[in-house]
Amino acid sequence: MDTHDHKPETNASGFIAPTSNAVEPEFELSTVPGHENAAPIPEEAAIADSAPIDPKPKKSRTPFQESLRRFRRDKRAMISLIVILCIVVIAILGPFIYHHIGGLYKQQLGTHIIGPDVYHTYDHQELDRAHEMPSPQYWLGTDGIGRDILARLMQGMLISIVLAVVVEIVDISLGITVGVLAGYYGGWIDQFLARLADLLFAFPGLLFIILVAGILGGWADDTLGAVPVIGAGGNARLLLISIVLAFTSWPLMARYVRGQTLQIKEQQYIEAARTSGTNDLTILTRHIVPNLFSIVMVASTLNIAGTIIGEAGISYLGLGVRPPGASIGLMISDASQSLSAYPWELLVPSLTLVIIVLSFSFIGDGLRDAFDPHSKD
Amino acid sequence: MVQQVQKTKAIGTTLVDVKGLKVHFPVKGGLLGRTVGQVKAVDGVDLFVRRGETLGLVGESGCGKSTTGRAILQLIKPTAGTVKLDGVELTTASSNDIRRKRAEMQMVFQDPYSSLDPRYTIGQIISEPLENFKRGNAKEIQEEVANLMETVGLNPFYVNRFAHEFSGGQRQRIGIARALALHPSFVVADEPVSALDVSIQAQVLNLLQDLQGKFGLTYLFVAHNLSVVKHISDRVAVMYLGRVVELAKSESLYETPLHPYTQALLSAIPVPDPEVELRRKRIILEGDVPSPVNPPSGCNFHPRCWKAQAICREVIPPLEEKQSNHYAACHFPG
Repeated sequence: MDTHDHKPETNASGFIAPTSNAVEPEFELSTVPGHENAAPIPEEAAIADSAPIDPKPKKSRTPFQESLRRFRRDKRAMISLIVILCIVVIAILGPFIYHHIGGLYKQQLGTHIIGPDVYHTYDHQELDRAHEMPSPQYWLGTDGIGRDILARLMQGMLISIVLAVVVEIVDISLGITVGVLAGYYGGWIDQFLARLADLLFAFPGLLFIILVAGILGGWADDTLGAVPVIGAGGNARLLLISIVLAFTSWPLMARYVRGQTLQIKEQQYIEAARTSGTNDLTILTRHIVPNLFSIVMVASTLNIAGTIIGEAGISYLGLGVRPPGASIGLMISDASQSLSAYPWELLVPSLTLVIIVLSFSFIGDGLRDAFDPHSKD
Repeated sequence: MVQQVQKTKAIGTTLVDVKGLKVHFPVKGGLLGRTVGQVKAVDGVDLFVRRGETLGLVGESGCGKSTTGRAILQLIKPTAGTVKLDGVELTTASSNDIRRKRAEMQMVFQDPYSSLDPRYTIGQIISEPLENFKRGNAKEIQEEVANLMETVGLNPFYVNRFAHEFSGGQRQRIGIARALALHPSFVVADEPVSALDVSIQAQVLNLLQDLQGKFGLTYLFVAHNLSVVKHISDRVAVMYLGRVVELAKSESLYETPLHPYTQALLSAIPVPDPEVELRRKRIILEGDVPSPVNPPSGCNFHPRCWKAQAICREVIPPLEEKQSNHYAACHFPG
């Protein structure tokens, strides 16, 4: 068997002709006795046999793109993704459109055009229109002091989503940085992470959030509220809650990242990169972090669900967003006082919360299935 | 089936000189993570590689041959000993100096699957060393990558494909192209064909030999397959439990092994002729390979050796030239 000839035969276009033994398909199975009839692996055959007519080499699908394709085929996850996108659009654009088509407040306040945000202040209450059922003016009815439920719900959804984004930004950046360093270098940073994670797992996260929100809440309103960008009106308190929520969730992210880093670091391509003279920083940023993408995406999506519930819980207890501001947790809290008479007012925010949380969970599940190398279909 | 290739290598001067190389890994245990013992993976390896030759390094699994290769390249920091590449000491060099030195010493990895980053295209994989050492601008690097791909028998058309789209043999060619990118003088091949199918092994071995002639490479070829080593090596070093026990020219090692361990090892090679195979005498060693955490005193082969005497338990036999160009570490060679 002459396997020694490796002289590249070039054709007119300058590429090795696909018939030369340089790209001869290596049907490894077919040469093993007993496997003579084994079909060649289609992917390899496709590489070897398809003649390169197009002279411009194309990028082919990465494993990442394969995973995205699997994700797109997951109906439950895709529906959830559409639901979340709808909620984001409603939360951001809804208030601008809603006050032009619904609501009576234009008449009431004369020519002065105002938006649903009047319902987040004490300026506008219509006590004679309290506890109304849905109507063309108030699409989802009104609450106990005559405020438009849909207008408040849109504000509540916006708060949930903004909070989720802020928490995930802190969670991901801290989690990746500490997790990668702990996994790659080990040593004291690894010990520090392990102990901190143990501490936070042993100490109930919600209790910690309640403590911080209760103790520092007033200070945040007074001090941070004076900062121009944050401003008054409960934003400072919201920022405080996001930071505390992120603080309780990042050690878990760091643990996931650390575990994955330990696994990646043992791969020979990391050693190969070192052999090629690549420095540590480049190995971390170009080889390890990109390969963490899927686990970070899955972990953060699943964490969002917990974050949104956490915020709702804190607001329900009166330590988060404060009246007259609107938040889903606060709306649930308000409505629960008149639950037996007006269950509708409780149903709307509760159902919204359930839909948001379930959607994020389904997206997380879908991502996990799509990126798990063992679930190839 | 393996085609013999004419070897036209001039035996040159010493390129790599390894003396007393030791790699000990600490065993942590107990409540406070104290070091309770040491795995003596490599425990005093002496060897040298001449310019332009292929030195085969054989031994059982776990005898420290891969660790030796990595310690020579400073991918694992040696515990003790000296490694000289072209007269330059590597064990005391700073990490920056070693990184600069990497252009001269490269490695072909065992596993063609885990040695290529799944998120990199072939072009990115091969150009990584070129970019690290700033070998030209983007266009020059692109051309060099295409050249390298042709050199190792890959169609440059596939430069933007990902590693998972290739077969094991093709992936190993990619790894070889990456190792050759900087035109190194010394290449450690860490069992480069053991993960490949038998039919592909010969192709990759022949490719390695061709490239050796073309680029004047010097190989340290780590393997556990004695036939593969015999095919490719000029000289062979046999390792047992972290030490080199015998180092000789390929022919003289396979014909007249001096160390009892080598004799036992060679007697285990099956012969293709069934009649010869039936009459073949095998040396069956007693017992298992001792643990590298607690190796035997003296010559660490003595508990399994049929020639062992009192001196073997007490004195470590040095690697000495017993015959011309035939080194063995044994008190009673032959």
